Amino acid sequence: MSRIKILSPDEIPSEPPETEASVRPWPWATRKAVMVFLIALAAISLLFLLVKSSGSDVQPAQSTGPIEVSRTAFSQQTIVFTLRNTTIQPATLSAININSATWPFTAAPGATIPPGGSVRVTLDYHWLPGVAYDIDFFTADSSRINVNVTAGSGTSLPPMSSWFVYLLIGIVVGIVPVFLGLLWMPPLFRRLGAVGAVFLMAITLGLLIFLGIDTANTALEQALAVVGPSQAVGLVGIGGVLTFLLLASLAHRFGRKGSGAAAGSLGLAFVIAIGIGLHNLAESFAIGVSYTQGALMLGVFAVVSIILQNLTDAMGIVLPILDEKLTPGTLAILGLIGGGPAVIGGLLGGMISSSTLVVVMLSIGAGAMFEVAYEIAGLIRASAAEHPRWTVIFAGITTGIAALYFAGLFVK
Amino acid sequence: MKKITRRDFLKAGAVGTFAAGGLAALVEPLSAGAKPTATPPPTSTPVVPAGTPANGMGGMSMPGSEAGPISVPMPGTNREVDHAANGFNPTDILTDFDPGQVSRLAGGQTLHEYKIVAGEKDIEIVPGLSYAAWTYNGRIPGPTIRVREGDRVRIQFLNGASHEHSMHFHGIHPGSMDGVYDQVPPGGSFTYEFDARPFGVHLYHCHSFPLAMHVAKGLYGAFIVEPRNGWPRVDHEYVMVMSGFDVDYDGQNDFYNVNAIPFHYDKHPIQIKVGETVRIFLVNILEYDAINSFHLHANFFHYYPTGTSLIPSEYTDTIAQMQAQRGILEFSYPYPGRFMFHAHKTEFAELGWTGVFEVTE
Repeated sequence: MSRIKILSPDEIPSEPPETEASVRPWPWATRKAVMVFLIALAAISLLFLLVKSSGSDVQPAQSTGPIEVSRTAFSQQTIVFTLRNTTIQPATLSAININSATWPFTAAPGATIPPGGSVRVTLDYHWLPGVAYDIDFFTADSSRINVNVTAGSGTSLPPMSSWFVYLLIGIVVGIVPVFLGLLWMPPLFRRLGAVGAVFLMAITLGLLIFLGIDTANTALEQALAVVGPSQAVGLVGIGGVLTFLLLASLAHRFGRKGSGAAAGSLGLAFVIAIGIGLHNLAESFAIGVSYTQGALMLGVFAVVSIILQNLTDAMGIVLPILDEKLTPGTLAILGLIGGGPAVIGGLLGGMISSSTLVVVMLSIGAGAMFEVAYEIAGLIRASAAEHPRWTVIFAGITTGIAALYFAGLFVK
Repeated sequence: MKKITRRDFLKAGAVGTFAAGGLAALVEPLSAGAKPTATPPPTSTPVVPAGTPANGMGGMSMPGSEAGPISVPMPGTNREVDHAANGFNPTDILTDFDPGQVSRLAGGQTLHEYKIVAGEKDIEIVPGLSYAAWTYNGRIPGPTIRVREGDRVRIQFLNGASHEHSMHFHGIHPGSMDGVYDQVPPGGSFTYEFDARPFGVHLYHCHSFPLAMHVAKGLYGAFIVEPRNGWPRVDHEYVMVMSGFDVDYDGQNDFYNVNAIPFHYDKHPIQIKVGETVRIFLVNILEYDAINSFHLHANFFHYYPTGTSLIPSEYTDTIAQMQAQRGILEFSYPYPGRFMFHAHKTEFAELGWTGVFEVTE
């Protein structure tokens, strides 16, 4: 009886008292259920990709000289090439030899390609699946452009549309890992001690640094492979630096811990999410452009490493907002910003096979990675202000870099 | 988090538009009209009237043609080179035997005089592809020199090109007339004079160095020496010089041909009648590939290697010739129809060395 307290009218609070449940609007049980769903979604998507033929039969861009074969598509008894003129003079296609046979072709809109323009060239050719075709394109000035393509390995199952494949890829490598990370990381962090938390942050930083350098390197490699006057190497610098500056300015604007401890951090989380989203966009764009026919050509290790990257990148997103009250809606938005571009990037890459654009996108991704690393470093520094744990931080960064390095060895 | 103001929104929108515009400028648009369709319209090919075999080998893509209703894509090109711009037509070259300026020398010997000029000319060998060729008298192959055994041949050779050239004859003649150690510089001249022997079908070509390039770029022609009493009379005599073109100078032929233009006799079949006797003077001057060949469809021919005997050595439908080998083929078609003739190295056939005899009643 003494436990029941009868309140007088003016003691009745206008708001319900804060309980454990209301501080965490999302109970752990719900989180677990959502995570299981996400894992199941990823598994099913992977199964789809690995078992069924993609049917896209689209070959990567080949920089072969003044005329670039930007796309080769094998369809019903036909081969369609998209040729792009990367020079500043018009180029005229005159003859095509395929596997030592001169073949009649039609070129739409015409055989003359204006500078920077493209034409679609169609060959009525009964190709065989899995066979390599050595194709010579002759221009009016007797240049010969040679490409080697392998026809799709056609299966008995009906092919899936490319957009569906890119959607699945985006879900598997982008959306699911990011969401998993967002759901899983905050409780994990709270369970770790302060040391463990700093260590995890340092690992994230190491991963981001490595990713940034790796992406920048890939961008440079692609840039060197691009033929033509686009000065692709310069684009790498422009893309990377501008992205870094843009994100840094956004972080400065919205990430300031101005009015109250909670105020700036959500903004910072959004900026980090944007940065990670940009990187996912760039990577999946590159995947989309280089996607080849048949089953998913990405090595298993490459897929795993991208998934792990995104899982840990999600850590970067939640770091500024660990102590915040987060609604599921906010988490969902952050996850979509971070992981959604993986889907868009793949679709864009599949549609726009431009090697120059790959370079730009990768440089944007690299700049984004470096900027997010910069922000995380700032967070680590802030936490280290009270308790400097430099050994832990150094160990964490080293672990992150080493993990990706060795994973990369496996991939290659 | 600071409230997002309208200004911020506008700034973000401006940045985003600039970024999108910049990226779009880097992406080349797929050319207008090139939307993915099931069957792209052949906008670049002229409409070919049915019955005209201008569409690849044998014109089998014409529905309802005698050859059958199947539409099978076949090698070839669907346009034609500009023969007028080239300055010669392979159909004319078939029967273009040149006795030169004929006169009689004091001792009764017949003299054939020629003036042959070496030059450089851009020739459209494949529709839309211009090849910087070297020519004798502006044509490939060069003039078909035809004389009788024992006649005197005198050729005033002028070099109107920018490299040194010469003329080397396959025959029996003094060393000073061999065209090897007396190269003719640009602007120079040399008069080759010798008695034509032995009888047969021979050839001439440039013997400047690097030899492969000088030959491959077009400096060759047929040199026919009739026996003293001539060959038995036939209804048709044709000269066919087999060769190829390496348009990108990588030491491999990109196109093959008979009488210079790939697929020409496939687009313009040689017209003969059932029962008519045909003699072909066949010369192989193909560079870069070891062996060339000739195969005749649905018929057999008597073959005289080098034409130096009046007795055929073979009765067959396929013979092989390495570079500078040549011979005479004689046959007549017993049945009407459209009959291919081509190299029986299929690669050569599909890269241009294909023709057709159209035999009518």
